[in-house]
Amino acid sequence: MIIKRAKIKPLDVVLVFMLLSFGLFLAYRISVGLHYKWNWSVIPQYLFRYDPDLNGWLPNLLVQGLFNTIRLSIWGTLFATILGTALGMCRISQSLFKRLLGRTYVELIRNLPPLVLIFIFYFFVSDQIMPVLGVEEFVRSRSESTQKILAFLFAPPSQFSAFLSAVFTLAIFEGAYIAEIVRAGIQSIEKEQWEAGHALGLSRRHQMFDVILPQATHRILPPLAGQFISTIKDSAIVSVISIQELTFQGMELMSATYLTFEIWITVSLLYLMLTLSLSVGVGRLEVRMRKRY
Amino acid sequence: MKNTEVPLHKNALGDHIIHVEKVNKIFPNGVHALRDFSTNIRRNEVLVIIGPSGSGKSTLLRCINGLEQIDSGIIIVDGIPLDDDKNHRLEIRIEVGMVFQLFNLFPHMTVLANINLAQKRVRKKTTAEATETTMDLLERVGMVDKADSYPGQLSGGQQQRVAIARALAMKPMVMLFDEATSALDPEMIGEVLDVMRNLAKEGMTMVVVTHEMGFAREVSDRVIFMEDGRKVEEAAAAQFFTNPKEERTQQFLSQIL
Ligand SMILES: Nc1ncnc2c1ncn2[C@@H]1O[C@H](COP(=O)(O)OP(=O)(O)OP(=O)(O)O)[C@@H](O)[C@H]1O
Ligand SMILES: [Mg+2]
Repeated sequence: MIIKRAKIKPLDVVLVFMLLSFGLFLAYRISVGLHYKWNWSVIPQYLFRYDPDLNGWLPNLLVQGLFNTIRLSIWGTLFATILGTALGMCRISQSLFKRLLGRTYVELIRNLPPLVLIFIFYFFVSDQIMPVLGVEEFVRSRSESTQKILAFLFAPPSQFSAFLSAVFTLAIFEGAYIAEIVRAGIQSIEKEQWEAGHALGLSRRHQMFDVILPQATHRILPPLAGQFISTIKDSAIVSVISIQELTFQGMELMSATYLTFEIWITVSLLYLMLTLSLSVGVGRLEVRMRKRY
Repeated sequence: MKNTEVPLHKNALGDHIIHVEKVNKIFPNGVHALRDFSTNIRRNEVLVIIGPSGSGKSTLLRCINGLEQIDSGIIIVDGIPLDDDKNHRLEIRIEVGMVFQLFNLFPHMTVLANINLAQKRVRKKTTAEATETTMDLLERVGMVDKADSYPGQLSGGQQQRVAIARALAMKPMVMLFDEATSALDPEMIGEVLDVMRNLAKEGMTMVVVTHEMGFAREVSDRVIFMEDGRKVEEAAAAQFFTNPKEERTQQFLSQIL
């Protein structure tokens, strides 16, 4: 790979200048045109608050929301990966039934508005599945220290079942995209690798798990990490089912303070902080994966 | 598929370890790659198959170990018919070892792991047992010091020797070689042919597709010349090279020799 050093050309200067003026113009229109009173000074207290009892700083609404977004995304991606891998393998199975199953799932999810899916899944999962599993009672009957750990990893007892429902809903949704990533990764492995396994007498299962999947993993990981970033963005949608993640907290704050621009700019910056740094990581991962063997 | 009336228990075919009768293979795109192809392969025999490109040599080998489904005809390997029965097909591909033109080693595994894998999964050996067999085989192909290398770190000739060892690890009754040296640089062809020559001497039953006429002459017991999916001529090696009957065979040999 050849990396050219960036040189600043006259056109770049013009572009930067135009962007800056556009930004200034927007700010001007908002202040003067909308008579908007900027009030940035109240924002920091919604990020962290001072707790006199503890004599320390604690995360407040927005940062709590950010943490919830991270939790949701991590667990959501984890379950989505399990689901997506299983269904991605179904997509290329020799059995017609499994192929149909995988296909139906992927097509259904990708061709419906996410908002509609969220409502369907969420009410199904939280109404029908969670009570059957007895999650709520399970958490409440744990010792206090276990509850603390669970609260750190997932959510406090009162929100536990709602949180899990949201995670599964996200997982079912993202799973469809991961299924396609897994399918493409498996299909990118040369058919000669299957044939070599076949000639050695390996069962199809062993061909898949010993020969194909380990190689496909190297091609699956970078897009999978990319999907994780998408999950972070998509997780905003569970705000409609009152999960207290970043977007939900933003909406709550906005209705309390009416500081529309300050809050949404802050929320955007928090999202960008997460996603952009991950993007850089994914880029590195891609380079490393390419260098293997 | 035709019903087989041949008795199916082992050794029923006498010395014949592979029985191929009137096999036809038509690919979905309409290419008729094997036409009424018949032959018998005896135990401990080295059969060389030659023919122009596209004549169906690879297809024949791939049909024998079940990589392709035949459209009609009979293939019986060591008494097991290659039919729709999954267990038959599995037994046959375990009994039949195959070496490919492009080696097809598993790039994510070391040489040792490549050769151990099927022993552990199919023969259910422990890692220690498998490794013992593997090291013996690596010794035979002169690759002991590369046991922990990855395929990508080896030359083509070395990779092909590992691939041969990997196929041998299953203790197959027959080895199929599909142009095992065609993808190699000239200076590496010799080392792979040496390994194959030794195998032949040890009495391994081999079906060898090759363009190396010198080698074919030296190791083969019998030669088949095929064209257009048909068997044009089949003869004992000595007779085939010195005194071919068919005009087409003579033509082909004069071009290639
Ligand atoms: N998977 C396939 N699908 C369609 N046609 C195929 C396929 N594999 C082989 N063929 C065709 O079948 C015929 C025989 O091919 P085959 O590979 O057996 O020839 P070959 O004798 O091995 O030739 P070469 O010396 O080039 O390896 C050719 O016309 C080829 O194009
Ligand atoms: Mg061929």
